[in-house]
Amino acid sequence: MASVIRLSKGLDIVLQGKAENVFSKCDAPLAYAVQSADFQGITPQLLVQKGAAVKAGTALFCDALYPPIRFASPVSGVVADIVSNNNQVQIIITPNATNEFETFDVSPIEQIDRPQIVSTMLQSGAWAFLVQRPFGVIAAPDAVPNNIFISGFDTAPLAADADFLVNGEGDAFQAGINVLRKLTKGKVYLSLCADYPANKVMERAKGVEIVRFKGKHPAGNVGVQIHHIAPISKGDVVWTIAPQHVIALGKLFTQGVYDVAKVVALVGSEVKKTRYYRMTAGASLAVLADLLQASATPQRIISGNVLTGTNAGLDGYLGFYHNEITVIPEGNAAELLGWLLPCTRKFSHSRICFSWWMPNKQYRLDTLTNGSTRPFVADGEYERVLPMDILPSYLFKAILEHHTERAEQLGIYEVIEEDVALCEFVCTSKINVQAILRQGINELRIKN
Amino acid sequence: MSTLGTIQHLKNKVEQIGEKNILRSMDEAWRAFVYVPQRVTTTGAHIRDAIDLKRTMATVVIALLPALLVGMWNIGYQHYLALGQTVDFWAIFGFGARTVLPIVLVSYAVGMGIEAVMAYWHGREVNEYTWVTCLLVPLVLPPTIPLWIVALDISFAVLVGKVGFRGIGKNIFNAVAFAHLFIWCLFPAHMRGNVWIALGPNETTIEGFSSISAWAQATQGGELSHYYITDILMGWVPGAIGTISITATALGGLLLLLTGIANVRIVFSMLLSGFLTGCLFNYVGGSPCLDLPAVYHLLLGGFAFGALFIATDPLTSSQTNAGKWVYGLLLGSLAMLLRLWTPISGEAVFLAILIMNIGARLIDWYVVQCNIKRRLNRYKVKK
Repeated sequence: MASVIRLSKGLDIVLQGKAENVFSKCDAPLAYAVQSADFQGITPQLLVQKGAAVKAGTALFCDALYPPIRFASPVSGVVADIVSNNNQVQIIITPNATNEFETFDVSPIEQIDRPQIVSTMLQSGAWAFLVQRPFGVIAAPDAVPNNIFISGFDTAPLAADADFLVNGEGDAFQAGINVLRKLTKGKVYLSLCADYPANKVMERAKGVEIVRFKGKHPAGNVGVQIHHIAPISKGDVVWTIAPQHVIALGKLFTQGVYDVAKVVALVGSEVKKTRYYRMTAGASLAVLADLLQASATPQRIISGNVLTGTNAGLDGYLGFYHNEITVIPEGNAAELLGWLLPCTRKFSHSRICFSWWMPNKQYRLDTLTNGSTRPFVADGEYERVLPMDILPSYLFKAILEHHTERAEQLGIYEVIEEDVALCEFVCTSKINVQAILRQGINELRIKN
Repeated sequence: MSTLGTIQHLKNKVEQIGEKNILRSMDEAWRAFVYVPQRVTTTGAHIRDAIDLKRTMATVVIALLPALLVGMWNIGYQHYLALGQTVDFWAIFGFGARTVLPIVLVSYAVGMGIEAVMAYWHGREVNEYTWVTCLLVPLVLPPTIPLWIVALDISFAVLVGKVGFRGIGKNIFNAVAFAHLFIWCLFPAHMRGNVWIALGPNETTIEGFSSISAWAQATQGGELSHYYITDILMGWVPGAIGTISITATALGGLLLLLTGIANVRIVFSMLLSGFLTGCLFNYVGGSPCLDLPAVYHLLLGGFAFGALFIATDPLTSSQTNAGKWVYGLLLGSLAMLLRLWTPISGEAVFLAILIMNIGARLIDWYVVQCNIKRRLNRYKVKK
């Protein structure tokens, strides 16, 4: 029996519009985009020009600071446009009718060694699957991670069910695990939820150390899991990878193709039928227009979940690491004496609102901040939702003071934005702590 | 024209006046006060908790209302008791309201006025912390306090206690306790002795009636036997405007504890350590003050009020969970020690809070260092 780690801190935000475990079909997207902004810590350098014909797996741009790290086209087609803005690029591809793939060498995984694996992943663009901790940036190919971590469940609001995402992909998942084992000197950890048995694809995976977690969000965050399994200190490097990318990695080494098609949940209170769709990373979200509820108020279409996702809009694209598209109403009304009236339709972690009396009620939350920005009021609210031995308010203050050494001492190596997203949600002072943390991480990376 | 139409018309008029106009700033301040802003998330989490500082501070003000209302009634009750007259409820409450409301109004007018000017000066919104400060300041004063002292008190609280430390969030001392002690040192004649019964012009108490506070009566060897315990619990004894009723304080405190605004760690540890220290001195004995049963120490002299409403100020108390326990324990003991051994006894809770405000930073420093050390040890073990 695998060990169970129980986390008492955290917060489950119950929203309307959870996905039914049903597959549905949507129209084929008319465009795809690969966006450098999806990848933390890189400086993009273009490798193609407008009008170039590309296949799935053709490199589009690389990291100027480390050129072997390439980012590939998800589909075959023609580069329709290249948009540059603020040192970021967005390469838009018009797909052709038949999806053609670049082919990469396929050898039995048992027979290939680490340098070959790294080389194939770099060439194909699959290296971007690997995210390094600390900093949450694309992994450095010349580093050997202490361990590799996979979170087999997601506790974020309206998150896609990871069991559904990997269903039927047992062989590719196992092949991906086998590849990962060759990349680390330590173990490959797979975290599962202790509340229910996971999909047999993950339960039966071999060569992984299964650890079970029990608790509220952010128990499903890989950063929180790392903290409780083998915490990172200064100088440590571990890698993380999402279950769907493990499958794509397995396909790369068994079929020789870069296939980033994945299962995506369309969720949120503004969606007609919240279901799962098969889409490819970078797909245009315009195809979802007919699937949303007709509404007089504007809607926010988020690639990802409501805590960490990107405000993509219908003219945006599915993010590389996102497994869900969330649609919620935009807030568009100032509330007269809203700070005094009982908030029965709002959600709060505190007992000021009545949401604590109704833990199972599903809320239709909008994008209003529900207040103005104020100075830090440290009353332990951050600590209540962060199940890590970290003092978040002290960490954020150290970052704001540009005191990188103190931020190191206070555990900045162990967290990225998604880990502190709940701190931002519950913040009475409406401080954007995710942005503060990224600022601190960037300063630390420059210093290092 | 409908009411909303009229408001919109006036709003448009104000906007036409110009960008850098004080009228426009006042309009903005007013709108910021009455509305939860129509501001949507732009970065990070797309949804946010319903709680904000306005709602938090409004809850604290609501929690203070029982103390204010009971305080008003008690001022009237003590007044007519001192005169030896028996009148109906509304006459009692009416006198209390006439005495207390001007004090509260002056506090709000001066405090919010200064805060509004400062907000305009610094180009920021009015901070809601001042709502609570402006109510707490009069509640800890005697009913006979002159209005100009109230104005001075709240001015000191806002200008020195908050703005002097470069704004709310950076202040290390609790502004209410800070200003209260300042006034207590400056104007002792208005803060001590026979100042606890409000009397009208040409009114005198009946013979033998004491105007000193119940706390002073108890600690100076006077008899408390003429007060029933219910009188003390309900607050029907002479004392400060809002701190005297344990029932009203507990009612408001319960709201703050239930909503999580007041930290239960601080309140519980402070009351516990205060009680235990009191018991210890009961055991030692030797003076009326030391012999007063420990439970009376918690019921009289604003100890409970200080524990629930002032010591729990999140900005100036300890900010780490472990630190809050230590902070409360030390604060309770210190407050009890000061009131038993120093001449400041009546205001000991305020002085103890100020001292522990400094101590809180030290306690937090140790807690943070422990956290850092644990992380460092982990690193060394790995190496």
